[in-house]
Order: sequence, then structure tokens, then C-alpha cells
Amino acid sequence: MAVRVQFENNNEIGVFSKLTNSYCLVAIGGSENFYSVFEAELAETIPVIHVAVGGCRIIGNKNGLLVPNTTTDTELQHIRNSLPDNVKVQRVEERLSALGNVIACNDYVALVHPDLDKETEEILADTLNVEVFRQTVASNVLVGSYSILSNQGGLVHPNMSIQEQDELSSLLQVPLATGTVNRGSNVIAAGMVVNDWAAFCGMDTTSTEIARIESVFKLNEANPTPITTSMRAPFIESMSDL
Amino acid sequence: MGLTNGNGNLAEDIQKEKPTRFWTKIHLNEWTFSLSLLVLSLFIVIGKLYANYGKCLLWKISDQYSLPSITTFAQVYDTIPNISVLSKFGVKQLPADSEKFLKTSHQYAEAASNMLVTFYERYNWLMKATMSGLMITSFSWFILYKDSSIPGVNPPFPFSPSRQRMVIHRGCNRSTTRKNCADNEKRSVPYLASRDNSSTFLVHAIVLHRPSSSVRLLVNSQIMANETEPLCQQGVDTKEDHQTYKIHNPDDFDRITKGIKVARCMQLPSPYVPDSEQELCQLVVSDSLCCSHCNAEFEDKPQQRLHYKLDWHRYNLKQNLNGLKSITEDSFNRIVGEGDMSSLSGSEAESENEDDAGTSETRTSSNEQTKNESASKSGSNKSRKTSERRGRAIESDISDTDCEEVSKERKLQVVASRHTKVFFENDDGNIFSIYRCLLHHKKDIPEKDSEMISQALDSGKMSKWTVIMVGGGHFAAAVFQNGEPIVHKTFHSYTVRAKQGFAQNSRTNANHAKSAGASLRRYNEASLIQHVQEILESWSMHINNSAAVLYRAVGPHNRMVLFGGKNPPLDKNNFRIRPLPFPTRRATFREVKRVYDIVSTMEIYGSAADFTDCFPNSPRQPIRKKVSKPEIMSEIPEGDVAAECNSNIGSIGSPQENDKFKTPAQSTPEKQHRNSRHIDRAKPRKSPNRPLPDIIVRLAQSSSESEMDAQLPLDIPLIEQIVEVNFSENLQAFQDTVPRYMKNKKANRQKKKVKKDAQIINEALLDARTKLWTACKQGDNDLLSSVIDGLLSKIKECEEEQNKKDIAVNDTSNDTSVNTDDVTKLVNDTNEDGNTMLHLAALGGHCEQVWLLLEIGSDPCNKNKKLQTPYAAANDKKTRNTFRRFMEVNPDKFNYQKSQIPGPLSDEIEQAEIEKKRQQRKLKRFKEKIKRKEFEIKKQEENEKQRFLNLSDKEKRALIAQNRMLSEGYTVISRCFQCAIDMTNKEPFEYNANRFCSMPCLKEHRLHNKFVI
Repeated sequence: MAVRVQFENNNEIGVFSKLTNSYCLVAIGGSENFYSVFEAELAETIPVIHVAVGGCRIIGNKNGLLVPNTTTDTELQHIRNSLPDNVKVQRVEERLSALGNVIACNDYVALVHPDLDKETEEILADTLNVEVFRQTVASNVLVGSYSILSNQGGLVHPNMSIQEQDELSSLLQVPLATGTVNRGSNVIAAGMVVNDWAAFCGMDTTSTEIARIESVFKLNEANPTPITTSMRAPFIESMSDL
Repeated sequence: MGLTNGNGNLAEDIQKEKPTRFWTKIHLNEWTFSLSLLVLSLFIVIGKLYANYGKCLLWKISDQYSLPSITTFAQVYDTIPNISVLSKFGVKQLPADSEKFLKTSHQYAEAASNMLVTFYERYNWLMKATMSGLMITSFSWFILYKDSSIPGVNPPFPFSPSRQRMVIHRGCNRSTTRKNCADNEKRSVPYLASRDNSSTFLVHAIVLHRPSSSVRLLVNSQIMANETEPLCQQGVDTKEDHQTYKIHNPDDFDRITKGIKVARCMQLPSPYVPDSEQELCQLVVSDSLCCSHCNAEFEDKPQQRLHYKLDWHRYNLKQNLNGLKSITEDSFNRIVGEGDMSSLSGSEAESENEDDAGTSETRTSSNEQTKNESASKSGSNKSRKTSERRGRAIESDISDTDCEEVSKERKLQVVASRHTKVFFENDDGNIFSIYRCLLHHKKDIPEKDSEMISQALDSGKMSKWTVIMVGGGHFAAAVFQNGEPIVHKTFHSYTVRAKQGFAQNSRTNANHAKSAGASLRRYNEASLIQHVQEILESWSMHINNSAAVLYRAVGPHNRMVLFGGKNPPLDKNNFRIRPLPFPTRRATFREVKRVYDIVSTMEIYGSAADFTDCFPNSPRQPIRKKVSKPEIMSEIPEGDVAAECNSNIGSIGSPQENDKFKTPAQSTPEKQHRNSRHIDRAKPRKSPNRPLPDIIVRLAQSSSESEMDAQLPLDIPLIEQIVEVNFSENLQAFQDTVPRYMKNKKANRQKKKVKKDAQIINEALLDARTKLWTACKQGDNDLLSSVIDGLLSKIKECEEEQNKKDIAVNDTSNDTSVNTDDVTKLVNDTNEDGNTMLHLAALGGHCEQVWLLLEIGSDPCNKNKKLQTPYAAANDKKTRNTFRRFMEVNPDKFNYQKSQIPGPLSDEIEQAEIEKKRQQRKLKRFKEKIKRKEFEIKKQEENEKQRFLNLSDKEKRALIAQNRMLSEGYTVISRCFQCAIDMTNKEPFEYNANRFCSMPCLKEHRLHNKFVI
């Protein structure tokens, strides 16, 4: 289910929040409205943590979190204290310090800016337990801004060619689709955050866009339970035996 | 009819109901009140009349008053109801009746006037009474009018023109304004008498049954009005910049459509329209094993994953981002092998980009250079790398312009293919347009150009068109044949309520139906549909014959008029019936003609290039037409210009000529700016073509003067002659467009070349060179001095030899000769860090070596790669002083300005400096002493303060007293208070801080001062 949310009248919620399968970070300074949307949707499952670093600066998945070198010690300590114990937090000295803009990842793979440091790449692979690929998205180096990945699927910049999508989806092993958020914004990752079971997107997002997001990330799959499908025949058989 | 209200039933009520309930039944409103007043005044008048003249009146009527007057009255009375009845019931017959009426009125005019005169003379009393009655009535009306909520409307003024029309004309025809209609509607129902209401609806009913006759009457009159007006538009069209022709003009049409083909901009490559739903269903992980960036295919997944981590892939990504071609793995490996990997490490990516940008910025100059070179055929001394880069820049430039053109074209295609007009190209290469609605229905766009062309050709043969417009209760339709309307019809029904703004059929189903206005509207809506359907039915022959039926009906209601109902007048699915592609004004015959005129216009835009330039703007503004010319002018390769300039300088040799030649080339960019209105500042532009600096012109002058001297004997200096003068070498250093880093590169290159030459020339020097370097590195003074001595002696020898040889033979090619220049060059040689020997010596702090090297000519101004001169590189003061001392000894040997040596240093200066320093030190010590003293004093004071603070208040007081006493010259401090005996060394007896030497003193004191306790 994709939920529309706004951070202080700003639709670029990806800048102010980071959602993974094991935690959710939200930027401080927003209204309670913003937080309550996240908390209502997630609080039962994963911690919603208020931190001072924005979503475009950090990158993480269920295994770990990378923060840029601009993060202060207190902020880092706060993040460490708040995150679950099994999440590794690492600060990286990277020239491209807006990590969220240059890296797109799910729990298994990561796409990175072609110019990212080798060192950062290694830290990325170690901390987040991902396989790192250098790639561009629709001739754009900011892969983290123009694409968003979950373990279920990925949404990429609308200018991406079919061939490029095919290659990338075979590389990442997730289905990809082009799309937009916030009434036609190409900057997908800035407009939405997603994990395997929830998505949040900007208030401007149209229902068409939401429908696409939900189908790509498989958020509304009302899958028939196995009882009605695969287990149906054995059941009937056993019933008839009686 | 449900609209007869309380007033209408009044008469019946009076008759049927009892008198007691009569007053309760009368709703005495303004209207009934005034009516009753009038009746009352009339009764008074008639009563007075009867009382005064009752008998004689009866008598006179029978006798004296002759028949003519009575008959006149009777006839007039007959005709009046006739008129009213006719006007109500038979609108068609109105003209005839009115004529009849006019004739009769003429006949009776004189008789009536005579009768009136006699009537007035005899019955002026009656007139007065009537007038007074009427005045009372009108006064009461006036008061009511003023008192009413909406003056003139509620209640209506009895002489209101709209009220009059209501009675006579009924329905709203062309002469009534919309406002009046609204007034009618509001007023009519509550205030009209029952007779009026019933007649109104009677008329409506009749109109409903026989609509065509009345409507036709109005329509005809309007047509007559319209046809007298001059034809619109045509005059305007001819004045426009784009030529326009009428499609129904066969001559023009044939001429224009000669060799017709669909314009290139219309040929849209079949666009890929992603079917989103389908795509979403197919969302699967693809298994393509290739990389489009590198054009590589893989055998399995691991290989693919590996590929995306390769530097090759990364390199290709960056190549793609820069708009360059990707390279194969082999060539990548080759590049890697050569070490040209600058762009691969992420950290250096920016410098690479900057480099590229720099090259592209200066590409004009580099183009110029390459052309100059090829012209002069001088050996290229540019390294392979730079030429390669330049080539790449040029290539990217070309691809840029290509891209620009392609994108422009694509944009044009997108716009043109959706345009309401279809663009064709004819034999003359002109682009012309025909409205798409003439060719085909928008759901029936032909895929082949040939079909489109045949349709376009057919459109010229289309003789009969129908244009129908419906909107806001207005209907206008016409059938045109060859530009002339053959039948047409216009009418208006009242379907839009005033001040409501739009058709209100949405309210039909709601509960608003009670109001009379709404029922009027509903009635009119129904009648409109019926009329339209009847009109179209009667025109069915025309419509069936016409090649295209163009309609304008916005909104579901208007469309329902044309396509709705059980028997729709037009078939929606018929492709002949096409909507008009632009908005129109109110549906009138004039507007229909205007629309027909626009649609039937073919516009010629000129050649395809012009069209491409002007199209994205409004096609009717041909401003951009002439922009292309100056662009072409400016695109004349500047290298050619420069080469020609050079040749001019060579042959004519006058720089003025050169300037003259250059001026047009310089002025072109300005012209271009003036011509093109919009300057895109974001776009990279060529560096401006500035005039050469004066110094270069002067240089050129001086160099050409000598040549001019040589050529003076020639009589005709203007002979065309290609003389290759290699100016580029001389001018390169002055080219202001060349960025600094390129200059530096060139300089380095030249230096290297020189070095190489020196190496080749003398092998004897090589040995010395290595020795010198080692000596400098190790700080071996002996070796250095020996080498230098050797060199100097060799120089001397060589000079002597040279002198001898000069006398003997002019043999210059001497490999073993060594002169001072060589040595200087040798000594100023740099190593990989840019350090000279002097740097090394200075770094090592070998003062003697420094001195020696300076003596044999090692320049202290050379800078190493850290931009340090030897002086700055020196580690200790001693070495630095050596430089200064050398400067003192040899002030003219070098130009010390750039050596960063602060100044010469002699012994005296040194002594003076030492002295000065000593003085300074002394002064400093003295100052320190003073400071220390001050500090001590301050510390003491501080201690005092602390001690004082530690005292109790009593002690403080005692201290103060003691001090006071001391200051007054008392030496003894403590005395008995009573007897004043000195008791310094005694323990005092005291009470209340009064001290005494003994108890008796104390007792006495206490006795004296009893009040204390």
C-alpha cells in the first residue's frame, strides 16, 4: 500500500526520510503529521527513528547504514543507539557525500555512481552486504536519485530505454519499470521511499502513479492464499475420503 | 396550464366564495391595489358624469352625435383586437395585416381628428375628470414603483417596453436582448393577468406545433441582414505574409498541389507507445545477457556481473555520458597499457572534463591552427595525444550540432504531426498546409502518404461542404458550394438563463422545475432540438451530397442536439462528419462564413528550411526567415579567413588591408546578434573574433616591411599569388584566445626540444652533466669545483680554437666545441621535480656549491615544480645569505627580480644587522625587566589585598584607625582610654572596644558613660 505524505508542504519526502526493511529514519524538524503517517504504517514492525541527517545523504538497507563524513559524532551515536543491534553503521569519507543520490540499493544489490571511490565501494559491499555495480540510469550518473529499488522491484527514470531496463533488471534480478512520482517528477528517489511491504510518496503523486508504484513494488498483491490454490485439491481429496 | 396563479382565478373566486371570505381571499398586492384605485377613480368620474349629464347624454347619443364618430370608434375598435389577435396567432400574416391597417388608418385619420376636436370642446370636463383619475392612478403607481424592491421590475412598470413585447411578440426573437428575455421571464408569470398567461402559452403551443414557419421567418430576415455585409476575412488574408489560397479555387489548387508530397515534418516514425497495463502485467526479471554501453554479450550471469565491475565498463559509461563512442575491450586494454588512464580514476574525472571543456572552448582557434598548419605544410610538432584530443573535441562538436538538428526536427515532427493542419510539399519546394479536417476524420488518419496525398487532391474537388454550429441556444448552419453559401439558417432559442451562464439541462431532473423561467428554458431546449432536426432533415439532400460536414458543438448538450434523440439528424460514426479543429465565436451566419473561409484556406509557408525555422513559433510570424543567412556567413571557417589574411600580408604587405579584410568577419557576429531576437545565454558560444593587439599588428608591419622592400620592384603588387608565410609560429604566443595551460604546454614542448638538441650536440658535456648532478646531490665540493674548472678550461680552449678557425676556415660544425651558452644551459637543466642543480645545492645547504653554480651561470630565477626558486628552497640561513652575498658581488649577472632574493648582503650590512639585532635584544631585555618589576609590584599589592580581606571587620577598623594615627604622626599606638597611659606592651582591659590600662580606669569610664549599657 503506497501512502501519500508531505514533509512541511514539501513533496520530496525521499529527501527527508529513509525506509528499509529493518528501520525507518525520518528527518527532525517536521510536523507531527509527517511522523505520524510513518509511525502509523510502520511502528508495529520497525523502529521509526528521528535523526538529523536527511534521506538523500545516507544510504542503507536492512543490514547496515552508511552516513557521510559530515555526520557529527553525536548524530552518529544517536543513530547507533536507536537502530537495531544487527544494523551496522559506518561513516564514509567520500567525495560524493550525498550518498543517497549516488547509490541505489536493496538488500542484495547496489547501483552506484561510476565515479564513486573504490574504498567506498568496498565499505558499501561490507556494510550493506550488497553486490555493487557501477551503472548509469538513463544517461544520468545520479543513480540514487533517478531509481529506487526494493527486493520486489524497481522504479527507474522514465527516459530509460527498454533495452537498458532489460539489462539492468537481469543484472539486479528484480523486475524494473519506468515511472514517475509527484505528478510527473523524474526524481523518483526524492519523491518516494519504499521497502518490501510499504511505500510512501509525495502528496502530489497521482493515483496512476500510485497504481504503478504498487504494481511494481508488489505492494497490493492480494494473493490468493495457498488454501484456495495449491492446497485445495488435497483438501477436497481428503474430505471425499471421509 | 399549471401556471395560472391566484390572480388568474380571482374572478371565479369572487363569484363562488362568500363575501366574508372575500377579503381573506384577496391577496392585496401592489398591482391589485393600483387596479382597484383606478376602478375607484373611474367609478367616481362615471358617477359624477351620470349625476350631472345623465339625461342629456342619453338623449344626445341617440340624436346629436352623428354616426361617423360612432362608426369610427366601432371600426377602430374592430381593427385593434384584430391586430392584437393577428399578432398573437398568425405571425406569418402580420405584414399583410399591418398594411391593411395602415390604409384604413389613413382614411380615418382626418375624421378622427375632427371628431377629437369637437369631442374635446364639448367634453373637456370629462377629460379633466379622466385625467385626474389617471393621475391619481399613476401617482399611486409611482409611489408603488419607488417603494418596490426592484424598481421597474417588481412590480413591472405598466408602460415597460418589454412588457409590451411580451404581449405582442411572445418568444424571444433576434431583436430581444438577452437581458430583456430575462426580464420577461421574471416578470411575466407572477404579475400578468390570467388572459396574458393563457395567451402566452397558447402561442407557445402553436409554435410548438408549427415551428418551421415562425422560425423560418426570423431566419430569413437575418440572412438578408447578413448578406448585405461585406465578405469578411478575404481582404485580410491577402495582406498577410504567408500566401493564402482558397481550396475551392481550382486554378490555385492545381498550381499549388503540383507534385504534391507529404512534408518531411509530417512523417512521424511510428512512435513506440508503451501500453502501461500490458507492460505491468509483464513485469518480470529479464534474462538479457548483454551490456548496451559496451556492446558486449555474456555467456552467463556471473560473467555479466563481473563485467559491470570492470573498469572497461566504467570507461564506456563515461564515454557514453560524454556523448562519445564506446570502445572495445581490446582498445581499452591498449589504452590502459599506454597509461592514458586519466579518466578512469574517479578523483581525476573532473580534471579530464575540464580539459575537454577547455579544448572545446578553444576549438575555433585550434581549427584555425590546424588549417594554418596544413596550409603552410610546416612539420607538426604537436604530440599525438593533443591532436587526438582535439580531434575528439571536433568530433563531439559535430555530433552536438547533429544532435541539435535532430532534436529540432523531432520536435517539429511531434508538433506538426499533431497539428490541425497537414503540411505538404509541392514541386516548387514550398510547404503548404491544408486543414486536417478536410482530408480525413481524426479517427481515420491514413498511414500511407499516398493516401494522404490522394485525400488532399480530393479535397480540392470537394465542391459542397456543410458547416453547422450549435452553442448556447444559437444555431447556425450553411451549405457551401464552391465558396458560396447555397442554403443557410440561423436562429436562437432561449436555453441559457440570464446570469446563470450556462445551459442548465443538468437541472432538468432536479427539483428546480417549479420556476417559470426553467419551464421556458426547458420548452426552448426541446424546441431547439426539434428545429435543428427539422432543418437538417429538410437539408438532408444537401448534407448527403456534401463531401464534409464540419460541426462545432461543445459539450454534451450541444452534441445531443446534433447527434442525440431517437432519429439523430447526423450520424456520429460517419467519417464525413468532422468537428472543427478550432474554437469559434457565437453561432451566427457571419461566423459560419468566417469558419468556412478559414478552413478552406491553403497557406504557403515557403521552402522547407524556412518552414523549419519558423514553425515552432506561430506560422503567421515570419520573423525568423532571415536568421539563417548570417549564420551561414559566420560559419565560414575562420581558418580560411586567417589564411587569406596571411596571403594578403604576404603579397600586399599592408596591415591596413589586413584590417579591412577582417572587418566583415568581425561584424558578422554582431549582425547575427542584432538579427536574432533571442540570445540563448546558456549555450556555449564561439569565442569572439577580436582584433589582434596593437603590438602584433606592429610586429606584422615590421616583418612585412622588409618583404615589401624586396617586392617593391614589382610594378603590380596586387598579383594573386600564394605566398606561404608562416605567421602562426610567431603569433601563437600572442593568441589571446589560447588558455594559459596550453601556452605552458607549448613552452614546455619547446624547452624539451632544445634540451634534446643540446644533448645531441655535445657528448663531452654529457659527462660533465652527470658529474655535476651527482656532485650537487652528494654535496661534493671538490668534484663540483673540479668539473667546473674542467669546463671553464675547455671553454677557453674552445674559444681559442674558434678564433683560430675563424681565421682559417668558416667551419662551424664542431661537435666537440664547448661554449659558455652550452654550459649555462647545462647548469640550468632541470630534473624530474623541476629542480636545477642550484636547487639541489641550496636544499643540501652547500654554500660553496651554490656560489660556484651561480658563478658559472645557474640562474637563481628558475623555479621547480613547487614554484620555489633556489633561494626559497634553501633550508638554512647560511645558504640564503650566500645568495644574497652573491647578489652583492655580482649585481648585474642575473635579473634577480624573480629570484625572490630580498636584497644584496655585504659584510657591513651583516655587521649592521647584527648590531641592530643586538640593540633590539637589549631593548627587549630591558622591557622585560620593567615588566617583571611591574608584575612583582602588582603581586605584592595582590597579597596585601588578600591579607586585608582575611581580616575581620573589627581588625579592619583598627587598621584604619592605626593608619590614621600613624599618618598624623603618632608613634605610640595604644593608650588607655581613660588616663592615656601608654600601654603598648600591656594586655588591655576592655569593654565595648574601649581599652583601659587597669580595672579602675575602666570602672571610672563606665561610671562616666552609664548610658552605654
